[in-house]
Amino acid sequence: MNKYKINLNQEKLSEKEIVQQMDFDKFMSDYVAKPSWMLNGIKLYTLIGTTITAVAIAGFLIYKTSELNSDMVPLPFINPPLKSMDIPFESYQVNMDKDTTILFKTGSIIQVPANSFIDSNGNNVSGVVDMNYREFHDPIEIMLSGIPMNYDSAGTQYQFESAGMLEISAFQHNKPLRLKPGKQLSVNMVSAASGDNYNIYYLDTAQKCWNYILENTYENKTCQKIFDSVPPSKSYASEVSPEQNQMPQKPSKANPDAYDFALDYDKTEFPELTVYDGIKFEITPDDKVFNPELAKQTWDDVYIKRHPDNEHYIVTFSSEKISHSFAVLPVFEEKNYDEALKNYATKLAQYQTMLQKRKTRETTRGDSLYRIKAIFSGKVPQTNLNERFNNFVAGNFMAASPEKLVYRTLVISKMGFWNCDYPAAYFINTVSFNTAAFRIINRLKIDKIVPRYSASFSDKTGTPLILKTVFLFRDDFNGVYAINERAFARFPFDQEHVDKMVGITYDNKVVYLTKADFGSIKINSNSIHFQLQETSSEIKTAEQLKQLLKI
Amino acid sequence: MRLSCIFISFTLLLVCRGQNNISGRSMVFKVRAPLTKCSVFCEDSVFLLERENSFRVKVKDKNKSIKVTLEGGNIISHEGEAYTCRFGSSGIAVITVYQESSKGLRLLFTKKMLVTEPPLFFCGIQLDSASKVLKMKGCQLYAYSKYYGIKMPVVSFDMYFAEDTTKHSVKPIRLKSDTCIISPEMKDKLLHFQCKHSDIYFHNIMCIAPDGHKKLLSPVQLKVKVDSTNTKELNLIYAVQKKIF
Repeated sequence: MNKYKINLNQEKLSEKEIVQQMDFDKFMSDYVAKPSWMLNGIKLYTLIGTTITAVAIAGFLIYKTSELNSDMVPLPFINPPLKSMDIPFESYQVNMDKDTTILFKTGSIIQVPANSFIDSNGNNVSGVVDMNYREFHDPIEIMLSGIPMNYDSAGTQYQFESAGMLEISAFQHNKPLRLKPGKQLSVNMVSAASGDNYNIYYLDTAQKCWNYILENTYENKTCQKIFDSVPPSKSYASEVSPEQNQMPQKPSKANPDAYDFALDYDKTEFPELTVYDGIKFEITPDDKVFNPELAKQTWDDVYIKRHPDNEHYIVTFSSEKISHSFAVLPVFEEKNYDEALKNYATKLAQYQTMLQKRKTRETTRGDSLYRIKAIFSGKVPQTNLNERFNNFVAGNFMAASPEKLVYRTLVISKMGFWNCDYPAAYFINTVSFNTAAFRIINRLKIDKIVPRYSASFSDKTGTPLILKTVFLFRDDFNGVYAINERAFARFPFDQEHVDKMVGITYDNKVVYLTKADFGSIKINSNSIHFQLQETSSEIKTAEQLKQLLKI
Repeated sequence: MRLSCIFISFTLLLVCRGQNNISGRSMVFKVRAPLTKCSVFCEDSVFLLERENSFRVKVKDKNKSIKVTLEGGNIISHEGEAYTCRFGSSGIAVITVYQESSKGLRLLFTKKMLVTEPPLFFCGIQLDSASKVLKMKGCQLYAYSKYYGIKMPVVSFDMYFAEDTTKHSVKPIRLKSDTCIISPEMKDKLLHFQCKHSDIYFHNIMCIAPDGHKKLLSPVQLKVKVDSTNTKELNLIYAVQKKIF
């Protein structure tokens, strides 16, 4: 133990001694400052404190930002909550040598043109390609897909209400393929949502956002009622090539040594042939197939077009069983030549127009009949009430209300996810206001400022549940509102806009809450507690989950 | 002399015929669009479910090779222009006539016809009518053919008791009867009917037509309402309606 010398009764200094020690200059010159550990400590603590504060602020900001966004964007980007119940693909083998049409189980039609794909190196792909395709139509399928359904438009977050969503992909030897530039697939997706207010979007998985493509409306023909559909009209465009519209060669005078013929026709049946009135068609010397006996029969149809040599014409006569074509030269009788030649060019130029009119009229007549037939045929299943009842009992909405079904046409330029959706506010308020200028009561749907709580969950016995995601459902909304666990501290909830809730636990169990059980929800000013029902282990498919939740 | 006249006439005939289309090296090609006219005649304005129906197809064309199809029913025979058809259930039937040629089938005509079924009676209540009582005696489910003037007994039917039909996914309880009489279990459902949230449907109603063929009648719904005009006691109004799903 140290021995200290403690002087308790020290003698006081005299005035003289004090004065002797009052040489401050000497004192200052003799003073050598020693490093102060106290001073260094203050600086260190200040630095550490500042750093901690900065990190804390940065952390808080990052946390707040992620908290705000995490209830809108599940992570990872496409994250099926239950891998075992993910919506399965249908696989098709498509031969790249020819155009292929795929009929999906919902009735959707996928058209794949020949030679549509290239591999990752940009090489053309030939042979057989494996195509995978699946669709998502209801809130359960959308939930199980794990596809984000939020959409950012000018900084405002919306939830997608869906009229149908699809994923399409192609592989060869298990390597993904992409569409060749300029090639497109056409998908006519059957949708039970017949509304006209949807858009087409493509999911950019690199940018992690949905990209708007175009409106999906009746007006732009990307949406049409299935039972109003008509078969594609027959096109005669191929019969009239640009070269045929070129001005013809000037007719020659008839050669008395050559075969020639005129046309006997009914002007009401073949109005376009009036331009050939007064003209004869002289068989070219090179035409060896002409037989004068052919003039003895009555033909059903005649068609005249320019010869590739741009000098002659080809006249084709056809009847039900046979047709003959001759290379001819238009000629005039010598006595009428000058007069006839005056109007020839003008009249001949009208031929294609008049022919096109006749063909269009015939096509329209034929198409009308096919259209009527399609409408009639569409009514047969509609009036089969027994079949409709079977579908009603089976819960198959696709077949139960065929008159409501529409084709939503998507022109696929990239493989991946496409949807026909409508960006909507999930929590909405309908407000009325009176504009003074026009005295008109307007009603607007606006985003509701939804109350947020710190959420906790338990099962019916009170055992706490640790959930990774919660999905909110609304009966009148064909979509879901996903809330990631990181947003549970600011859990949005409004009984008015929630009809069902599904939670996924970390051990991949499905728990749920329906409107009938909302009475068990405990809410105070800033916290909320949900008692959720566990599903039985027998629920293993999307269909079973739909049955359970009545969705 | 007579022989000379015949020879000259024959020569002139040949010359005239030749001049019609062929004159030396000049000819005339005659073109006429073929006129095809097709019509379908039915005996009545509607087809009846309970009997065999017939219709006639007339085609005015040199090509009389046609194919006739019937959607919603079956053509059981045809002789010349006359076709006989039979239907298994009511609804819309479409007769379509195609002309067959080397180019394929060409649609000539299409006609839509309604197939009507005889009205159903359930416990004394006719289809699309209402009553305050259910007559539980005798054959409780039968159809009545006005054409034949006879009852067509139901040989089997299903009863669906649905707790909440606002959702397609709710599976109704299915009860089956192989007679025209409701089973005790069905009777129990009827007597404990909760008209606010539940519905009763009759489906797969199979009856026997006079020709011995089975006919499937459309599903119907049993609607039940409380009789608000009778305030003294609780009375129910029963109605049988054709249900469009």
